[in-house]
Amino acid sequence: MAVIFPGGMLLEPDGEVKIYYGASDTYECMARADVNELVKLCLEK
Amino acid sequence: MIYKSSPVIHKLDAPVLTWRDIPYKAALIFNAGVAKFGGRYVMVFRNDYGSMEEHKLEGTSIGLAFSDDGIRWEVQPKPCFELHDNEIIRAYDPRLTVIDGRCYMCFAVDTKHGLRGGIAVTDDFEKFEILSLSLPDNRNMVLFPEKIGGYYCRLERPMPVYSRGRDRFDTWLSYSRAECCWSRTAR
Repeated sequence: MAVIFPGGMLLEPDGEVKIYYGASDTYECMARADVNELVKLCLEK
Repeated sequence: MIYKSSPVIHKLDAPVLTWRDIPYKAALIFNAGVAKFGGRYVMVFRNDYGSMEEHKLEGTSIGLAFSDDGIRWEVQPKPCFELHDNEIIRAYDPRLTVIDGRCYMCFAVDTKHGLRGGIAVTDDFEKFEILSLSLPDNRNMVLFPEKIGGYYCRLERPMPVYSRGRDRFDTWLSYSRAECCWSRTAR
């Protein structure tokens, strides 16, 4: 089962957000995004 | 069904932590909490250990790792948090929040009488003081990184049994004046 479990969000001084998430109850992974783009995404939906 | 990420999300090509990085018995490494604390990145991760071949879970511990860049991690030689006694089966799914210079850890607890949400506080990742355990069934808690109007704020996800004849997984918001006494407000 492909489950993603986000457990950590870090906002860096340059606006990058580091998103830490468990993947399929097996590994720990990380993704990055820009905070302004994330906020825009939330407001769009 | 195939789920696609939004193009604003950029995933790293490989996991940041797997069982191969752990210097003690480990199998499934996942659902970690991360924070910046004391000038470095800190991660607390769930380790379900046991036999991967036989799909047999022996136990769960919470391990500890530090990093200077948030990408490459130095795993500490021993787990930092593990709960197990006559009533408690395990603690897992830790989340970290730094508030007023202290590091709080929300975590889930499986017990013989239901699932409970816990909150602990640490200043050094060696000693953890457990501040509260919710009534069952509740978990997936996270604290806001600053107080709002003088209150600690927490999101949580109780699992009521007798509600409307089906599972509900609503997110609730609670406030507390102190770190340990939570009053329910809104869904």
